[in-house]
Amino acid sequence: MSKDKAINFIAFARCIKIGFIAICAALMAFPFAWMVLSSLKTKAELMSGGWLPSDPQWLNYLEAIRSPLLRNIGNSLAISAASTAYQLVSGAMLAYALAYMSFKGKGLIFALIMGSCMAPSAATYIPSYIILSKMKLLDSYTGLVVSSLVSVFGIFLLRQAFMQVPPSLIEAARLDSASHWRTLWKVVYPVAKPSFAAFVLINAIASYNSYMWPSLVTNSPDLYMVSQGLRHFFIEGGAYGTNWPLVMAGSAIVVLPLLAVFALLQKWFVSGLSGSAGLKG
Amino acid sequence: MSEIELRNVCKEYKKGYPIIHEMSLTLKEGGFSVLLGPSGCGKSTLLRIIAGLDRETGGDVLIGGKSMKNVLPQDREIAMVFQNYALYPSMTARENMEFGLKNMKIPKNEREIRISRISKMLGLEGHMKSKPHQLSGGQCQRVALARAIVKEPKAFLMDEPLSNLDAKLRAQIRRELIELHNKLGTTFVYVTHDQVEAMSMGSEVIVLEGGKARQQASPDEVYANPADLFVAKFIGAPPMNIVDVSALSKFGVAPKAEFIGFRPEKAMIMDFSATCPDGCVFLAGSVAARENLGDHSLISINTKAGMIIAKRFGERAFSEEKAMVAVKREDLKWFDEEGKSIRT
Ligand SMILES: Nc1ncnc2c1ncn2[C@@H]1O[C@H](COP(=O)(O)OP(=O)(O)O)[C@@H](O)[C@H]1O
Ligand SMILES: [Mg+2]
Repeated sequence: MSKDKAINFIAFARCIKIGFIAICAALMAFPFAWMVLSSLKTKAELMSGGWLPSDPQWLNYLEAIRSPLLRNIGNSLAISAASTAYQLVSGAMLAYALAYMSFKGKGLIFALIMGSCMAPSAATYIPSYIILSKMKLLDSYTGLVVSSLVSVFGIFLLRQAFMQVPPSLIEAARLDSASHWRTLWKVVYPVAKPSFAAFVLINAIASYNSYMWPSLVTNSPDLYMVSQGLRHFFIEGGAYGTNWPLVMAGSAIVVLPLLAVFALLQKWFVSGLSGSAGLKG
Repeated sequence: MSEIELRNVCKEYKKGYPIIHEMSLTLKEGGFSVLLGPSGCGKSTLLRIIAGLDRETGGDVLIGGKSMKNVLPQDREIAMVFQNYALYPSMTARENMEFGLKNMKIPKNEREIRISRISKMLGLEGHMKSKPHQLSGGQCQRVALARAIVKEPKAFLMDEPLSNLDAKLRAQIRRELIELHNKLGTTFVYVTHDQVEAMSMGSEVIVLEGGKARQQASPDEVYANPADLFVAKFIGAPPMNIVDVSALSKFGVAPKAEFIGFRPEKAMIMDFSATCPDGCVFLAGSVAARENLGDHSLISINTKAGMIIAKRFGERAFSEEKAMVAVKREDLKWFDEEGKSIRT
């Protein structure tokens, strides 16, 4: 009797849990669905409300593709890829040193790196801008990549993952005459792969989404990244003439690469953030 | 030349709290030296100092007569087997063995030869393509050994390599290690807290306690003539019986002796009323417990000198309530007030 009750209770708790998760998922998915639906409406239809487009306007997508948006996406992808690659290598090397090497001033260096997180990013814009301009890298791809070669969050994430690796593995590699570089990529990297995946995802998304800094240091429309490109749609028709369906179609296209990356990495991503170093894999 | 010599080696992690006290030891070339001691006595630290993974705070380590002061771990020509195996999880058994050889820039054909020979020697041929998580504990241990052996080092350093295995496998690998040592003839330095491992495998045993070497001798010698009370009580199952000298003073004692020890198997149990044989000392008491362990039994006897444990082999069960413990005089070990052995 009481056993039945217990089972009933567990089933009930399960229903509540699943229901809660379903509601959360729906809340998260709603803006995306709304975006896609709106992108298929006419301007008038969108303003008057209603759920489904009566006559899907696929031409909105064609128009969005014809605009410089694809070029903007290409820019963003290239710059995200380049800066994430640099961040990955520099982050892994720094995290390796912080996790496995002992040297004077290690604590201080770690504190400085972490402390730089505390500075609001707006405070770094002006000095960074001046540095870039002195390097004559304003308004260039190189400038955009150079200004994000290192990711503090990434260093922290990888350091935490590296600390989970049994120290005897590093010592074994050392006794096996492996250089630090080989130890990092042949021994540590395969074990900490989930954290590397989380690293790539988080930094690539941040870089793909970045708006403020790229619009400060670039001027030529050829160099625009996606968020700048999207903004162009807004201002194209003047303050009251924004072509919302077109903005929605553009946004939907812009989101696609991110969804693809996430689908590819999500298995690793979740275990990377939950801190298990994935020693089993 | 692969004798390992420690000269006044000290180690402290925190100033004023030495983990290893001025230790001087010579571990013979080609020997199977076992560092034996309770947990926390500094065995691993000592092994890591020999490997160069930890730096000594004082003294010097010599391998083959050469000071290792400025020699990096990878250049000491030693191989280490870790307690948790420390196999590279992403590599197959074969890649685990090959990793070090590649780093040492050993040519491919030489690598092939070594790996196939050693994997055959350790019965690993069928598992070369498996990753560590697909292998059992015993197989992982063999891969770890193989990884060490293919490097053809001057000495093997092993830190409790059997402690993660079950009892049966442990006994088996123990035998394999003895065989391996005979085959390779290389210096083995083996750390354990298990006296059975030490006694069964070691060509010499170094008993450590509190960062000091208490005794360095062959297993037989350590068992028969412990250098002090700590060694006497640490080795043997059950350990040596220790009684205060006053309990046996009527039989005449060695000068300066404060404690007397005798092994449980040297204690003869007789009926309370029996007359004791000549040349024996004896203590009377009542039987407190009997443990039958198959080929032998342990009998605990409560005497006025404290609890005495006697070991009896294959004799009829001792059923009396009162008993007499007799020990031949030559089987008594004498210890002074500091617990040091007195040779008579
Ligand atoms: N990295 C370290 N920092 C501080 N103390 C340590 C460190 N490593 C070991 N110790 C201390 O040194 C002592 C000996 O340790 P260890 O050599 O591992 O003992 P064993 O291997 O004999 O069990 C222990 O008391 C331990 O707490
Ligand atoms: Mg230890």
